[in-house]
Amino acid sequence: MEIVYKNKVEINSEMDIVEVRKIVREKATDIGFGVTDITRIVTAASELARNIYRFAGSGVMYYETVHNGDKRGIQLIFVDEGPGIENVDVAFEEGYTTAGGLGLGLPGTKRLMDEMELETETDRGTTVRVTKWLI
Amino acid sequence: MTKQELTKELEANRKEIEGLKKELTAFKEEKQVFKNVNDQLSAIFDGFNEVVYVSDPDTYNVLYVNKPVEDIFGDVVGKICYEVFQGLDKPCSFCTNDKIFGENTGEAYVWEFQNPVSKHWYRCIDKAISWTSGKHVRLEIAIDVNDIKKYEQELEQQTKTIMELSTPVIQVWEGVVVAPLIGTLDSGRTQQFMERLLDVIVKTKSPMALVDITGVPTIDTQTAQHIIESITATRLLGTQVVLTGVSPSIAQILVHLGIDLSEIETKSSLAAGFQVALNSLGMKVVNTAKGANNER
Amino acid sequence: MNGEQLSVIKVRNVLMVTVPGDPDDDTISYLQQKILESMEYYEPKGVILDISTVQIIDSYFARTIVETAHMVRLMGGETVIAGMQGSVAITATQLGLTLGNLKTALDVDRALDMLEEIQV
Repeated sequence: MEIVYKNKVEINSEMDIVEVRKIVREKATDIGFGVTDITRIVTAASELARNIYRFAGSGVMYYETVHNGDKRGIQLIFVDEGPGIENVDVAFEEGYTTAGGLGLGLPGTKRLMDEMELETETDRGTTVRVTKWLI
Repeated sequence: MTKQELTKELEANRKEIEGLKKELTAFKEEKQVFKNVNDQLSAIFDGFNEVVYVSDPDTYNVLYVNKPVEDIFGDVVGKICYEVFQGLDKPCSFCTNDKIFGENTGEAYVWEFQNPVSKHWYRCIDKAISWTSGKHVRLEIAIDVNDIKKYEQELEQQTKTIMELSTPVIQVWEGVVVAPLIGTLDSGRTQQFMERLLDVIVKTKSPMALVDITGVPTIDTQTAQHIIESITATRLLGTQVVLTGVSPSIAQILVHLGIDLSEIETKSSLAAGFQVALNSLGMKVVNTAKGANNER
Repeated sequence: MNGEQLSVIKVRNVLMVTVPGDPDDDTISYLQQKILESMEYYEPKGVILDISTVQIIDSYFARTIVETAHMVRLMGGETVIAGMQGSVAITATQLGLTLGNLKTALDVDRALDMLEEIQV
Protein backbone atom coordinates (compact mmCIF):
# COMPACT_ATOMS: atom_id res chain seq x y z
CA MET A 1 0.00 0.00 0.00
CA GLU A 2 1.50 3.28 -1.06
CA ILE A 3 1.17 5.94 1.57
CA VAL A 4 3.20 9.09 1.49
CA TYR A 5 4.34 9.87 5.01
CA LYS A 6 4.32 13.59 5.54
CA ASN A 7 4.36 13.54 9.31
CA LYS A 8 7.82 13.09 10.65
CA VAL A 9 10.18 13.96 13.46
CA GLU A 10 13.92 14.18 12.93
CA ILE A 11 15.91 12.39 15.61
CA ASN A 12 19.35 13.90 16.06
CA SER A 13 19.64 14.62 19.75
CA GLU A 14 18.34 13.60 23.14
CA MET A 15 15.90 16.53 23.07
CA ASP A 16 14.34 15.00 19.97
CA ILE A 17 13.37 11.97 22.03
CA VAL A 18 11.26 14.33 24.15
CA GLU A 19 9.74 15.73 20.95
CA VAL A 20 8.94 12.20 19.79
CA ARG A 21 7.13 11.48 23.08
CA LYS A 22 5.18 14.72 22.84
CA ILE A 23 4.06 14.21 19.24
CA VAL A 24 3.20 10.55 19.72
CA ARG A 25 1.19 11.36 22.83
CA GLU A 26 -0.79 13.99 20.90
CA LYS A 27 -1.42 11.66 17.99
CA ALA A 28 -2.42 8.72 20.19
CA THR A 29 -4.79 10.93 22.17
CA ASP A 30 -6.34 12.28 18.95
CA ILE A 31 -6.98 8.80 17.66
CA GLY A 32 -8.80 8.01 20.89
CA PHE A 33 -6.54 5.62 22.79
CA GLY A 34 -7.07 5.27 26.55
CA VAL A 35 -4.56 6.28 29.21
CA THR A 36 -2.81 2.93 29.56
CA ASP A 37 -2.54 2.41 25.80
CA ILE A 38 -1.18 5.93 25.34
CA THR A 39 1.45 5.14 27.98
CA ARG A 40 2.37 1.96 26.11
CA ILE A 41 2.61 3.66 22.73
CA VAL A 42 4.63 6.64 23.97
CA THR A 43 6.99 4.35 25.91
CA ALA A 44 7.51 2.14 22.85
CA ALA A 45 8.22 5.25 20.75
CA SER A 46 10.69 6.54 23.35
CA GLU A 47 12.56 3.22 23.29
CA LEU A 48 12.76 3.04 19.50
CA ALA A 49 13.73 6.69 19.15
CA ARG A 50 16.42 6.19 21.75
CA ASN A 51 17.77 3.21 19.83
CA ILE A 52 18.21 5.42 16.80
CA TYR A 53 20.00 8.07 18.82
CA ARG A 54 22.25 5.59 20.61
CA PHE A 55 23.17 3.29 17.76
CA ALA A 56 22.80 5.29 14.57
CA GLY A 57 23.28 8.84 15.76
CA SER A 58 20.43 10.18 13.71
CA GLY A 59 17.27 9.08 11.98
CA VAL A 60 13.62 9.83 11.44
CA MET A 61 10.30 8.78 12.91
CA TYR A 62 7.27 8.87 10.63
CA TYR A 63 3.84 8.77 12.22
CA GLU A 64 0.43 8.16 10.71
CA THR A 65 -3.11 7.14 11.49
CA VAL A 66 -3.91 3.85 9.79
CA HIS A 67 -7.16 2.17 8.89
CA ASN A 68 -8.16 -1.44 8.41
CA GLY A 69 -11.79 -1.76 7.54
CA ASP A 70 -13.44 0.29 10.26
CA LYS A 71 -10.57 -0.22 12.72
CA ARG A 72 -8.20 2.65 13.18
CA GLY A 73 -4.81 2.76 14.79
CA ILE A 74 -1.45 4.45 15.03
CA GLN A 75 1.59 3.51 13.02
CA LEU A 76 5.12 4.66 13.75
CA ILE A 77 8.09 4.02 11.47
CA PHE A 78 11.62 4.51 12.73
CA VAL A 79 14.27 4.77 10.03
CA ASP A 80 17.98 5.15 10.40
CA GLU A 81 21.08 4.65 8.28
CA GLY A 82 23.13 3.26 11.10
CA PRO A 83 25.12 0.07 11.56
CA GLY A 84 22.11 -2.26 11.33
CA ILE A 85 21.37 -5.12 13.68
CA GLU A 86 23.86 -7.96 13.47
CA ASN A 87 21.67 -10.81 14.56
CA VAL A 88 17.95 -10.12 14.54
CA ASP A 89 16.96 -13.41 16.20
CA VAL A 90 19.23 -12.75 19.15
CA ALA A 91 18.00 -9.17 19.39
CA PHE A 92 14.49 -10.44 19.90
CA GLU A 93 15.47 -12.86 22.63
CA GLU A 94 14.51 -11.77 26.10
CA GLY A 95 17.26 -10.08 28.00
CA TYR A 96 19.50 -9.26 25.04
CA THR A 97 21.98 -6.73 26.32
CA THR A 98 24.37 -4.36 24.64
CA ALA A 99 25.70 -0.95 25.57
CA GLY A 100 24.86 -1.03 29.20
CA GLY A 101 21.74 -2.89 29.96
CA LEU A 102 18.41 -3.62 28.34
CA GLY A 103 19.91 -3.48 24.85
CA LEU A 104 17.46 -2.63 22.15
CA GLY A 105 14.42 -3.46 24.23
CA LEU A 106 12.86 -5.07 21.16
CA PRO A 107 10.96 -7.96 22.79
CA GLY A 108 9.48 -5.59 25.38
CA THR A 109 8.60 -2.93 22.81
CA LYS A 110 6.94 -5.57 20.68
CA ARG A 111 4.77 -6.58 23.65
CA LEU A 112 3.60 -2.99 24.09
CA MET A 113 2.39 -2.73 20.50
CA ASP A 114 0.17 -4.96 18.37
CA GLU A 115 2.45 -5.36 15.36
CA MET A 116 6.15 -4.88 14.77
CA GLU A 117 8.11 -5.27 11.53
CA LEU A 118 11.83 -4.87 11.25
CA GLU A 119 14.17 -4.57 8.29
CA THR A 120 17.86 -4.21 8.75
CA GLU A 121 21.02 -4.40 6.70
CA THR A 122 24.52 -4.29 8.11
CA ASP A 123 26.07 -0.85 7.61
CA ARG A 124 23.04 0.30 5.66
CA GLY A 125 20.50 0.94 8.36
CA THR A 126 17.37 -0.24 10.09
CA THR A 127 13.66 0.37 9.70
CA VAL A 128 11.25 -0.55 12.48
CA ARG A 129 7.52 -0.26 11.92
CA VAL A 130 5.12 -0.59 14.85
CA THR A 131 1.34 -0.45 14.88
CA LYS A 132 -1.30 -0.40 17.60
CA TRP A 133 -5.02 -0.70 16.91
CA LEU A 134 -7.78 0.99 18.79
CA ILE A 135 -10.22 -1.59 20.07
CA MET B 1 -31.00 -6.00 -72.46
CA THR B 2 -33.39 -8.76 -73.56
CA LYS B 3 -36.76 -9.34 -71.84
CA GLN B 4 -35.41 -12.57 -70.39
CA GLU B 5 -32.35 -10.87 -68.90
CA LEU B 6 -34.52 -8.10 -67.35
CA THR B 7 -36.88 -10.66 -65.79
CA LYS B 8 -33.90 -12.52 -64.34
CA GLU B 9 -32.46 -9.32 -62.85
CA LEU B 10 -35.84 -8.34 -61.40
CA GLU B 11 -36.16 -11.81 -59.87
CA ALA B 12 -32.66 -11.57 -58.39
CA ASN B 13 -33.38 -8.13 -56.97
CA ARG B 14 -36.69 -9.35 -55.56
CA LYS B 15 -34.89 -12.25 -53.89
CA GLU B 16 -32.27 -9.88 -52.53
CA ILE B 17 -34.94 -7.58 -51.14
CA GLU B 18 -36.71 -10.56 -49.55
CA GLY B 19 -33.41 -11.62 -48.03
CA LEU B 20 -32.69 -8.11 -46.76
CA LYS B 21 -36.22 -7.84 -45.34
CA LYS B 22 -35.65 -11.10 -43.46
CA GLU B 23 -32.29 -9.84 -42.18
CA LEU B 24 -33.88 -6.57 -41.12
CA THR B 25 -36.67 -8.43 -39.30
CA ALA B 26 -34.17 -10.69 -37.60
CA PHE B 27 -32.06 -7.63 -36.76
CA LYS B 28 -35.09 -5.84 -35.27
CA GLU B 29 -35.98 -8.94 -33.29
CA GLU B 30 -32.43 -9.23 -31.99
CA LYS B 31 -32.45 -5.55 -31.10
CA GLN B 32 -35.68 -6.10 -29.20
CA VAL B 33 -34.18 -9.04 -27.34
CA PHE B 34 -31.19 -6.91 -26.37
CA LYS B 35 -33.49 -4.09 -25.34
CA ASN B 36 -35.54 -6.52 -23.24
CA VAL B 37 -32.42 -7.86 -21.55
CA ASN B 38 -31.17 -4.32 -20.98
CA ASP B 39 -34.53 -3.24 -19.60
CA GLN B 40 -34.69 -6.29 -17.36
CA LEU B 41 -31.18 -5.69 -16.03
CA SER B 42 -32.01 -2.03 -15.48
CA ALA B 43 -35.20 -3.05 -13.72
CA ILE B 44 -33.21 -5.33 -11.44
CA PHE B 45 -30.62 -2.71 -10.56
CA ASP B 46 -33.24 -0.01 -10.22
CA GLY B 47 -35.26 -2.36 -8.04
CA PHE B 48 -32.41 -2.59 -5.50
CA ASN B 49 -32.82 -0.42 -2.47
CA GLU B 50 -29.05 -0.25 -2.46
CA VAL B 51 -26.96 2.36 -4.17
CA VAL B 52 -25.05 1.03 -7.19
CA TYR B 53 -22.75 3.12 -9.34
CA VAL B 54 -19.86 2.75 -11.74
CA SER B 55 -17.11 5.32 -12.16
CA ASP B 56 -13.96 5.69 -14.22
CA PRO B 57 -10.90 5.42 -11.96
CA ASP B 58 -8.81 7.73 -14.12
CA THR B 59 -11.24 10.52 -14.97
CA TYR B 60 -13.56 10.05 -11.98
CA ASN B 61 -16.50 10.32 -14.38
CA VAL B 62 -19.70 8.61 -13.29
CA LEU B 63 -20.51 5.97 -15.91
CA TYR B 64 -23.67 4.42 -14.47
CA VAL B 65 -26.02 4.93 -11.57
CA ASN B 66 -29.09 2.95 -10.59
CA LYS B 67 -32.40 4.53 -9.63
CA PRO B 68 -31.72 4.94 -5.89
CA VAL B 69 -28.68 7.07 -6.77
CA GLU B 70 -30.68 9.09 -9.29
CA ASP B 71 -33.37 9.67 -6.70
CA ILE B 72 -30.85 11.12 -4.26
CA PHE B 73 -28.34 12.85 -6.51
CA GLY B 74 -30.22 13.37 -9.75
CA ASP B 75 -28.95 12.58 -13.25
CA VAL B 76 -25.22 12.54 -12.60
CA VAL B 77 -23.90 10.26 -15.34
CA GLY B 78 -20.95 12.01 -16.93
CA LYS B 79 -20.24 14.18 -13.90
CA ILE B 80 -17.29 13.82 -11.47
CA CYS B 81 -17.93 11.25 -8.69
CA TYR B 82 -16.26 13.08 -5.77
CA GLU B 83 -18.02 16.31 -6.72
CA VAL B 84 -21.55 14.94 -6.91
CA PHE B 85 -21.39 12.24 -4.21
CA GLN B 86 -19.16 13.90 -1.60
CA GLY B 87 -19.24 17.58 -2.52
CA LEU B 88 -15.45 17.71 -2.70
CA ASP B 89 -13.22 19.45 -5.21
CA LYS B 90 -10.61 16.71 -5.34
CA PRO B 91 -10.62 12.90 -4.98
CA CYS B 92 -11.73 11.62 -1.58
CA SER B 93 -8.87 11.00 0.83
CA PHE B 94 -10.46 7.66 1.66
CA CYS B 95 -10.96 6.60 -1.99
CA THR B 96 -10.57 2.87 -2.15
CA ASN B 97 -9.49 2.72 -5.81
CA ASP B 98 -5.96 1.80 -4.74
CA LYS B 99 -7.42 -1.28 -3.06
CA ILE B 100 -9.33 -2.65 -6.03
CA PHE B 101 -7.04 -1.99 -8.96
CA GLY B 102 -3.49 -3.02 -9.69
CA GLU B 103 -2.67 -6.35 -8.12
CA ASN B 104 -6.08 -6.51 -6.41
CA THR B 105 -8.12 -6.24 -9.62
CA GLY B 106 -11.14 -8.50 -9.47
CA GLU B 107 -11.12 -8.75 -5.68
CA ALA B 108 -13.96 -7.18 -3.76
CA TYR B 109 -13.05 -4.69 -1.05
CA VAL B 110 -15.60 -4.38 1.73
CA TRP B 111 -15.56 -1.45 4.11
CA GLU B 112 -17.90 0.55 6.28
CA PHE B 113 -18.54 4.24 6.09
CA GLN B 114 -20.72 6.67 8.00
CA ASN B 115 -22.34 9.26 5.76
CA PRO B 116 -21.63 12.66 7.31
CA VAL B 117 -24.99 14.05 6.25
CA SER B 118 -27.48 11.26 6.99
CA LYS B 119 -25.29 9.78 9.77
CA HIS B 120 -26.31 6.37 8.45
CA TRP B 121 -23.73 3.58 8.28
CA TYR B 122 -23.16 1.91 4.91
CA ARG B 123 -21.34 -1.29 4.04
CA CYS B 124 -19.64 -0.62 0.72
CA ILE B 125 -18.56 -3.38 -1.64
CA ASP B 126 -16.09 -2.11 -4.21
CA LYS B 127 -14.73 -4.06 -7.12
CA ALA B 128 -12.94 -3.48 -10.41
CA ILE B 129 -15.00 -4.77 -13.33
CA SER B 130 -14.39 -5.06 -17.08
CA TRP B 131 -16.22 -2.41 -19.00
CA THR B 132 -17.28 -2.30 -22.60
CA SER B 133 -14.65 0.36 -23.24
CA GLY B 134 -12.06 -2.37 -22.73
CA LYS B 135 -10.65 -1.07 -19.43
CA HIS B 136 -11.44 -1.80 -15.81
CA VAL B 137 -13.75 0.53 -13.97
CA ARG B 138 -14.91 0.96 -10.38
CA LEU B 139 -18.18 -0.65 -9.27
CA GLU B 140 -19.58 0.21 -5.87
CA ILE B 141 -22.60 -1.20 -4.09
CA ALA B 142 -23.48 0.56 -0.83
CA ILE B 143 -25.84 -1.18 1.59
CA ASP B 144 -27.50 0.67 4.42
CA VAL B 145 -26.41 -1.22 7.54
CA ASN B 146 -27.42 1.35 10.08
CA ASP B 147 -29.62 -1.08 12.02
CA ILE B 148 -26.93 -3.73 12.05
CA LYS B 149 -24.41 -1.13 13.16
CA LYS B 150 -26.65 -0.13 16.04
CA TYR B 151 -26.93 -3.77 17.15
CA GLU B 152 -23.17 -4.20 16.81
CA GLN B 153 -22.53 -1.21 19.01
CA GLU B 154 -25.06 -2.43 21.56
CA LEU B 155 -23.43 -5.85 21.57
CA GLU B 156 -20.03 -4.26 22.05
CA GLN B 157 -21.32 -2.29 25.00
CA GLN B 158 -22.87 -5.40 26.55
CA THR B 159 -19.68 -7.37 26.11
CA LYS B 160 -17.80 -4.58 27.82
CA THR B 161 -20.27 -4.60 30.68
CA ILE B 162 -19.93 -8.35 31.03
CA MET B 163 -16.17 -8.01 31.11
CA GLU B 164 -16.41 -5.36 33.79
CA LEU B 165 -18.87 -7.37 35.84
CA SER B 166 -16.77 -10.49 35.66
CA THR B 167 -13.57 -8.89 36.91
CA PRO B 168 -14.62 -6.99 40.02
CA VAL B 169 -12.04 -5.63 42.41
CA ILE B 170 -13.41 -5.15 45.88
CA GLN B 171 -11.96 -3.41 48.90
CA VAL B 172 -12.92 -5.77 51.72
CA TRP B 173 -11.17 -3.95 54.49
CA GLU B 174 -9.13 -0.86 54.88
CA GLY B 175 -5.93 -1.61 53.06
CA VAL B 176 -7.05 -4.92 51.54
CA VAL B 177 -8.50 -5.48 48.08
CA VAL B 178 -9.70 -8.77 46.73
CA ALA B 179 -9.83 -9.51 43.01
CA PRO B 180 -11.69 -12.76 42.33
CA LEU B 181 -11.00 -14.10 38.86
CA ILE B 182 -13.66 -16.19 37.25
CA GLY B 183 -13.21 -18.17 34.07
CA THR B 184 -10.21 -17.83 31.80
CA LEU B 185 -8.12 -14.78 31.11
CA ASP B 186 -7.47 -13.83 27.53
CA SER B 187 -5.37 -10.85 26.53
CA GLY B 188 -8.35 -8.50 26.44
CA ARG B 189 -9.67 -9.50 29.85
CA THR B 190 -6.18 -9.33 31.32
CA GLN B 191 -5.74 -5.73 30.24
CA GLN B 192 -9.14 -4.87 31.70
CA PHE B 193 -8.34 -6.76 34.88
CA MET B 194 -4.91 -5.21 35.38
CA GLU B 195 -6.18 -1.72 34.76
CA ARG B 196 -9.06 -2.12 37.19
CA LEU B 197 -6.94 -3.80 39.85
CA LEU B 198 -4.24 -1.13 39.78
CA ASP B 199 -6.82 1.64 39.56
CA VAL B 200 -8.59 0.48 42.73
CA ILE B 201 -5.31 -0.07 44.56
CA VAL B 202 -4.06 3.42 43.73
CA LYS B 203 -7.42 4.99 44.64
CA THR B 204 -7.81 3.14 47.93
CA LYS B 205 -4.09 3.11 48.67
CA SER B 206 -4.30 -0.55 49.62
CA PRO B 207 -0.99 -2.13 50.56
CA MET B 208 -2.47 -5.62 50.27
CA ALA B 209 -4.11 -7.38 47.33
CA LEU B 210 -5.52 -10.88 47.15
CA VAL B 211 -5.84 -12.25 43.63
CA ASP B 212 -8.19 -15.18 43.98
CA ILE B 213 -8.35 -17.91 41.37
CA THR B 214 -10.82 -20.21 43.12
CA GLY B 215 -13.17 -19.59 40.21
CA VAL B 216 -10.62 -20.46 37.56
CA PRO B 217 -11.31 -24.10 36.61
CA THR B 218 -8.18 -24.75 34.65
CA ILE B 219 -5.11 -22.87 33.69
CA ASP B 220 -2.88 -22.78 30.63
CA THR B 221 0.49 -21.18 30.14
CA GLN B 222 -0.99 -18.02 28.65
CA THR B 223 -3.45 -17.45 31.50
CA ALA B 224 -0.69 -18.13 34.02
CA GLN B 225 1.56 -15.57 32.31
CA HIS B 226 -1.24 -13.03 32.37
CA ILE B 227 -1.84 -13.57 36.08
CA ILE B 228 1.87 -13.28 36.81
CA GLU B 229 2.02 -10.08 34.77
CA SER B 230 -0.85 -8.62 36.79
CA ILE B 231 0.84 -9.53 40.04
CA THR B 232 4.19 -8.10 38.94
CA ALA B 233 2.61 -4.80 37.97
CA THR B 234 0.81 -4.62 41.32
CA ARG B 235 4.01 -5.22 43.24
CA LEU B 236 5.70 -2.44 41.31
CA LEU B 237 3.27 -0.07 42.97
CA GLY B 238 4.44 -1.19 46.38
CA THR B 239 1.49 -3.42 47.19
CA GLN B 240 1.90 -6.93 48.57
CA VAL B 241 0.11 -9.62 46.59
CA VAL B 242 -1.06 -13.07 47.58
CA LEU B 243 -2.36 -15.45 44.96
CA THR B 244 -5.15 -17.38 46.64
CA GLY B 245 -7.42 -20.24 45.72
CA VAL B 246 -4.76 -22.44 44.18
CA SER B 247 -6.54 -25.79 43.94
CA PRO B 248 -4.70 -29.14 43.85
CA SER B 249 -5.38 -29.52 40.13
CA ILE B 250 -4.15 -26.02 39.34
CA ALA B 251 -1.07 -26.65 41.47
CA GLN B 252 -0.37 -29.79 39.46
CA ILE B 253 -0.84 -28.03 36.15
CA LEU B 254 1.38 -25.11 37.15
CA VAL B 255 4.23 -27.41 38.13
CA HIS B 256 3.84 -29.55 35.01
CA LEU B 257 3.87 -26.43 32.82
CA GLY B 258 7.07 -25.35 34.52
CA ILE B 259 5.61 -22.01 35.59
CA ASP B 260 7.84 -20.30 38.12
CA LEU B 261 5.82 -18.82 40.93
CA SER B 262 8.68 -18.81 43.44
CA GLU B 263 8.63 -15.02 43.70
CA ILE B 264 4.92 -14.94 44.50
CA GLU B 265 3.20 -15.82 47.73
CA THR B 266 0.42 -18.32 47.16
CA LYS B 267 -2.28 -19.89 49.31
CA SER B 268 -4.83 -22.59 48.60
CA SER B 269 -7.79 -20.65 49.97
CA LEU B 270 -8.98 -17.07 50.04
CA ALA B 271 -9.41 -17.35 53.81
CA ALA B 272 -5.74 -18.22 54.24
CA GLY B 273 -4.86 -15.25 52.07
CA PHE B 274 -7.00 -13.01 54.23
CA GLN B 275 -5.10 -14.26 57.29
CA VAL B 276 -1.84 -13.19 55.65
CA ALA B 277 -3.38 -9.80 55.01
CA LEU B 278 -4.44 -9.38 58.61
CA ASN B 279 -1.02 -10.43 59.86
CA SER B 280 0.77 -8.00 57.63
CA LEU B 281 -1.53 -5.18 58.71
CA GLY B 282 -0.96 -6.12 62.32
CA MET B 283 -4.61 -6.97 62.93
CA LYS B 284 -6.54 -9.97 64.15
CA VAL B 285 -10.16 -11.03 64.26
CA VAL B 286 -11.58 -11.38 67.76
CA ASN B 287 -14.74 -13.30 68.60
CA THR B 288 -16.77 -11.09 70.93
CA ALA B 289 -19.32 -13.72 72.01
CA LYS B 290 -19.35 -14.57 75.72
CA GLY B 291 -17.01 -17.42 76.54
CA ALA B 292 -15.60 -17.53 73.06
CA ASN B 293 -12.30 -19.21 72.54
CA ASN B 294 -9.94 -16.63 71.10
CA GLU B 295 -6.86 -18.75 71.16
CA ARG B 296 -6.78 -19.30 67.38
CA MET C 1 15.75 21.14 30.93
CA ASN C 2 13.01 21.52 33.48
CA GLY C 3 15.21 21.66 36.53
CA GLU C 4 12.81 24.04 38.25
CA GLN C 5 10.12 21.38 38.52
CA LEU C 6 12.56 19.06 40.17
CA SER C 7 12.72 19.57 43.89
CA VAL C 8 15.08 17.97 46.39
CA ILE C 9 14.32 18.84 49.99
CA LYS C 10 15.28 17.37 53.30
CA VAL C 11 12.36 16.30 55.46
CA ARG C 12 13.31 14.99 58.87
CA ASN C 13 16.13 12.58 58.14
CA VAL C 14 15.09 11.86 54.61
CA LEU C 15 15.62 13.34 51.15
CA MET C 16 12.33 14.04 49.39
CA VAL C 17 12.77 14.22 45.63
CA THR C 18 9.84 15.25 43.44
CA VAL C 19 10.37 14.13 39.87
CA PRO C 20 8.73 16.24 37.12
CA GLY C 21 6.11 14.78 34.78
CA ASP C 22 8.06 14.08 31.59
CA PRO C 23 11.72 14.59 32.40
CA ASP C 24 14.19 14.76 29.54
CA ASP C 25 17.52 12.95 29.67
CA ASP C 26 19.37 15.99 31.00
CA THR C 27 16.92 16.40 33.87
CA ILE C 28 17.31 12.73 34.78
CA SER C 29 21.10 13.06 34.89
CA TYR C 30 20.83 16.27 36.86
CA LEU C 31 18.52 14.47 39.28
CA GLN C 32 21.12 11.82 39.99
CA GLN C 33 23.78 14.41 40.57
CA LYS C 34 21.64 16.51 42.87
CA ILE C 35 20.66 13.47 44.92
CA LEU C 36 24.26 12.40 45.43
CA GLU C 37 25.33 15.92 46.37
CA SER C 38 22.49 16.11 48.87
CA MET C 39 23.41 12.70 50.27
CA GLU C 40 26.83 14.06 51.00
CA TYR C 41 25.58 17.33 52.43
CA TYR C 42 22.72 16.13 54.63
CA GLU C 43 23.71 12.49 55.23
CA PRO C 44 20.06 11.42 55.40
CA LYS C 45 19.16 7.78 55.97
CA GLY C 46 17.22 7.55 52.77
CA VAL C 47 15.79 9.02 49.61
CA ILE C 48 12.15 9.11 48.55
CA LEU C 49 11.60 9.48 44.81
CA ASP C 50 8.10 10.83 44.32
CA ILE C 51 7.07 9.78 40.82
CA SER C 52 3.35 10.44 41.20
CA THR C 53 3.32 12.86 38.25
CA VAL C 54 5.56 10.77 36.01
CA GLN C 55 3.62 9.40 33.06
CA ILE C 56 6.35 7.63 31.11
CA ILE C 57 9.14 5.47 32.42
CA ASP C 58 11.33 4.16 29.62
CA SER C 59 14.38 1.96 29.95
CA TYR C 60 16.75 4.91 30.33
CA PHE C 61 14.78 6.38 33.22
CA ALA C 62 14.49 2.97 34.90
CA ARG C 63 18.19 2.28 34.48
CA THR C 64 19.15 5.65 35.92
CA ILE C 65 16.88 5.22 38.93
CA VAL C 66 18.31 1.80 39.71
CA GLU C 67 21.83 3.17 39.29
CA THR C 68 21.06 6.10 41.56
CA ALA C 69 19.67 3.79 44.24
CA HIS C 70 22.88 1.77 44.16
CA MET C 71 24.93 4.92 44.52
CA VAL C 72 22.73 6.09 47.39
CA ARG C 73 23.16 2.70 49.06
CA LEU C 74 26.95 3.04 48.74
CA MET C 75 26.67 6.39 50.45
CA GLY C 76 24.72 4.81 53.27
CA GLY C 77 21.09 5.39 52.37
CA GLU C 78 18.00 3.48 51.28
CA THR C 79 15.84 4.52 48.34
CA VAL C 80 12.06 4.18 48.04
CA ILE C 81 10.06 4.89 44.89
CA ALA C 82 6.67 6.37 45.76
CA GLY C 83 3.41 6.99 43.94
CA MET C 84 3.87 5.08 40.69
CA GLN C 85 0.87 5.50 38.39
CA GLY C 86 -1.10 2.38 37.46
CA SER C 87 -0.57 2.75 33.71
CA VAL C 88 3.16 3.18 34.28
CA ALA C 89 3.30 -0.02 36.35
CA ILE C 90 1.47 -1.98 33.66
CA THR C 91 3.65 -0.61 30.86
CA ALA C 92 6.88 -1.16 32.79
CA THR C 93 5.89 -4.77 33.49
CA GLN C 94 5.09 -5.43 29.85
CA LEU C 95 8.26 -3.72 28.68
CA GLY C 96 10.18 -6.05 30.97
CA LEU C 97 11.60 -3.35 33.23
CA THR C 98 12.43 -4.50 36.69
CA LEU C 99 13.51 -2.09 39.33
CA GLY C 100 15.70 -4.75 40.83
CA ASN C 101 14.99 -4.96 44.52
CA LEU C 102 14.21 -1.28 44.81
CA LYS C 103 11.56 -0.65 47.42
CA THR C 104 8.33 0.88 46.24
CA ALA C 105 5.49 2.49 48.18
CA LEU C 106 2.00 3.60 47.26
CA ASP C 107 2.60 7.15 48.41
CA VAL C 108 5.06 9.43 50.12
CA ASP C 109 3.51 8.84 53.57
CA ARG C 110 4.05 5.13 53.37
CA ALA C 111 7.53 5.68 51.97
CA LEU C 112 8.36 7.80 55.01
CA ASP C 113 7.01 5.04 57.29
CA MET C 114 9.18 2.51 55.50
CA LEU C 115 12.31 4.56 55.94
CA GLU C 116 11.43 5.36 59.53
CA GLU C 117 11.53 1.67 60.36
CA ILE C 118 15.15 1.49 59.30
CA GLN C 119 17.49 1.77 62.22
CA VAL C 120 20.30 4.20 61.53
